[in-house]
Amino acid sequence: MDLFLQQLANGVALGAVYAMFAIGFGLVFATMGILNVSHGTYATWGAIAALALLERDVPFVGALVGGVLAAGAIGVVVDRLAFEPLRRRGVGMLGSIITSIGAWIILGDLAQEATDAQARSFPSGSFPSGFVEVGGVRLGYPQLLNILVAAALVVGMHLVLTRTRLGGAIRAVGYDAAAASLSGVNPRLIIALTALLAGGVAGLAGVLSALSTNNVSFTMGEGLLLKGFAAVVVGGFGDVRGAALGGLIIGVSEVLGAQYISNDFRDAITFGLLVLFLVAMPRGIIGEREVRRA
Amino acid sequence: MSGAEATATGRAAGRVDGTNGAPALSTRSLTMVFGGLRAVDGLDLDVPAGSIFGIMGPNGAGKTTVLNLVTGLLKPSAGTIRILGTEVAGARPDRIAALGVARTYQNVRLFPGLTVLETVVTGMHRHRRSTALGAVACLPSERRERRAAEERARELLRRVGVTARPEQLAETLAYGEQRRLEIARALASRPKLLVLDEPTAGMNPVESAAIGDLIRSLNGEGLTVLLIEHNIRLVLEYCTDAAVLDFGRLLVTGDPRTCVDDPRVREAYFGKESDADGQEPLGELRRDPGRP
Amino acid sequence: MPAFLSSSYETTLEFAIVSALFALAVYVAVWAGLLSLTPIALGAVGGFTYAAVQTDHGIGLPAALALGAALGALVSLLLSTFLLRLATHYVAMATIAVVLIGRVVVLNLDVTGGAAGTGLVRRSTTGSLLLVLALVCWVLARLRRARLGLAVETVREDPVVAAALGIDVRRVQRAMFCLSGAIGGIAGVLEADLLQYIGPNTYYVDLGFVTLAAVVLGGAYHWLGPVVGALVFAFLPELLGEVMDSGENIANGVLLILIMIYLPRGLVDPARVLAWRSRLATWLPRRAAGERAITEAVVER
Repeated sequence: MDLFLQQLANGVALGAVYAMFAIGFGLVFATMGILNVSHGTYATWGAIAALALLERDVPFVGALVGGVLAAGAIGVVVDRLAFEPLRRRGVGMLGSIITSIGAWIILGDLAQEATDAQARSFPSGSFPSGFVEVGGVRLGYPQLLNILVAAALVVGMHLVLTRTRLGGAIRAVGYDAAAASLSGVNPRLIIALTALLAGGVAGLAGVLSALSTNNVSFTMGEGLLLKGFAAVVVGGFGDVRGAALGGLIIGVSEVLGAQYISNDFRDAITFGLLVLFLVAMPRGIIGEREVRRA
Repeated sequence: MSGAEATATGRAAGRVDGTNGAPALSTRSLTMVFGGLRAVDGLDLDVPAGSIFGIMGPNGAGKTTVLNLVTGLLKPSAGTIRILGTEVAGARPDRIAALGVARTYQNVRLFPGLTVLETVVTGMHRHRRSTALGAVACLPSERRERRAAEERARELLRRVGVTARPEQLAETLAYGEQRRLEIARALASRPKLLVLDEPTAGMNPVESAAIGDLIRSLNGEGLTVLLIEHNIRLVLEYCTDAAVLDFGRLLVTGDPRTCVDDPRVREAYFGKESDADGQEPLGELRRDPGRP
Repeated sequence: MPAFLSSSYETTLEFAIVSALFALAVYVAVWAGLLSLTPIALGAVGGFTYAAVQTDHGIGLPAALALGAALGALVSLLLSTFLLRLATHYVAMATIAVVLIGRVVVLNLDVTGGAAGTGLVRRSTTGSLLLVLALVCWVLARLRRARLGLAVETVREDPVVAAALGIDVRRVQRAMFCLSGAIGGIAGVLEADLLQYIGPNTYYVDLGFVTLAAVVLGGAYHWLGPVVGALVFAFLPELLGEVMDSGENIANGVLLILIMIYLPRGLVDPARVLAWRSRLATWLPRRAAGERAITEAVVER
């Protein structure tokens, strides 16, 4: 039973990172109708930026913020260069998937060059090492950080999206940009802010993932992308809470599956769930309104 | 030949297709509900075999919805539809097409990227004997079949009066030609029942009359034609039977003249006498259908 | 091989041919209106089967290709039973899921070598690769405006109208899905043969994305498009690498974005060609009988 609870906790900590990533990825899909293949690279670059700062003795908080800002900036740049021109020309969803693949190629290759194709890790001592014991379950400080940050993020994002004018504007633009602009919303600004937000959150996921797994590599974002994608399908696209729930489910089932079935099978459960939901409940657990095209 | 005589001849010549008097199309209590809207409401309609049947009615009366139900693009909320003797309510569009039904659309729906000739050939799909393997192997029988299909397509284009080059992209044709091309594509499937949704929309009187003549000529060969038409003059001139719909319900059906003269129809189009403000376009029509 | 083709370009050409086959496989599904990455997964089926029969039974390349095609078609048929029921948005995602699961299957089966992968002996030559590509292109060219090809076109452009013409939309989609799988199987066999080693990451989503990009870049409206797209993707970085020290790989990414903005239908677009030919026909009076009428019309104006 102790082992089960421990692995459950580990699953929750892992799921927290997936949830963070899924929130950003799902936000872009739900509000802009874009399936952004390059979203994983934002996470990679967030981690790379944080690494660069840590290696220059910037304290962890600073490095974290730096990573988030870097990833957010990249998100905005990609949106301006790869998606905005398509929106202006009324090109559909397939077009934005293709340009996102273009951005993925570019950012991935640049990341490979930046890291010299070597797997690195944050300098030891960047973050306090140690454990917390709660009811027979042990969580490392990074794991605890993941859970706390994810929880804060979910609550915060949900409140922003549902209770603030900015959030209302984001959802309005996602639903119908033309109608939103008639109500005094500036769609271009809102879309840029959404891209910034989504990118920044990806960067956050990237830095925390690098911290927990002790690994910064140019391919780390890909794993997050796929798990985030699965999380959004399972949990539901349009709602931040759905992404979070999906992330948790994926994380927990992955860890428990690895423990009780086999390590080689951890991805099988994730993707099996993905297929199951696509076939049976494509809107996800927290089902959403129709997904709108960009 | 005056309009009335031509209509009578058409009616006599039309009813020869040997379905022993059974209607080409027959609906009972046909109903279509969209959310809170009853687009079609308990419609009982009979389209006699071999007729040229005109459906009229103000905008929003449910006419195109009826066509969509009859051709299988929509599944009815309730009611039955019999086409050429077979019950088809809710059947898939390709099953209904297989019974010998072909149609055109309110907004022309041609396939982008296909040429004029290819467009007509797509209509022949059901009847063609070509096989994929034969095409890949370049069999002479394939080449013959294809040439025969293309030749028949050219004939159809001549028949409906499309003068554009067959290799031209269908979407580059002038509007009137596109509508004719759509008819040619529909005819390519050798239908027994041809359903036309506002075939003369946006056309001038000369073009409209040409379409009317085409319809009459097709009907003379035994084809039952069901059409939605806003041009009441056209209906009076060419149709053997008519029906008027409003709010999804049947107001009146039967002889076109009788339909047009019915006071309920006038009310549906123009409102009550007291609303009319002295305007009497329909009244003028009744008095003198020949006026341009 | 001609002497001027240096051996590194020859290798690039060979991989470009296999890429082109994967691209053609994806194109065939897109041709019927289905965005599908399953050819990658079926490539895995073909490739690992080839690896298995190579060692166990010493089966030659042509038989392996036939086997790959048959398995690709068969597995596609099975997948189509549930994939084709999904609404369009979700088909694409489900096919990504199929590829993801494919990797997990490869990881966990003994016959595929698990995480370590499996090795092969190369049996193909540049010539035989070109031959296979030419054959696949031939089949697609023959089908393009045959009865089936026209039906596929209608299903993609307007399935509602296609059905009203009596075309069985589901059946056409299924047929193209299976053809796509067969070509994917063939591509997978040749990929395995070229690489001489395949593992769980060989047939994965990154290959899928790059293949999809090649299809759209080259043009998804004619079978020549994916071939051109694959060639461009393979050779552009090679050629740029001659003049650049680094960063030549991002060229493909930049090109993708530029093409989608300025030439969204891709490099090879039959509509563009037809439109130009029409324009030419009206402005250049020609002696051919058919053109005379048009000439007269122009003169009259």
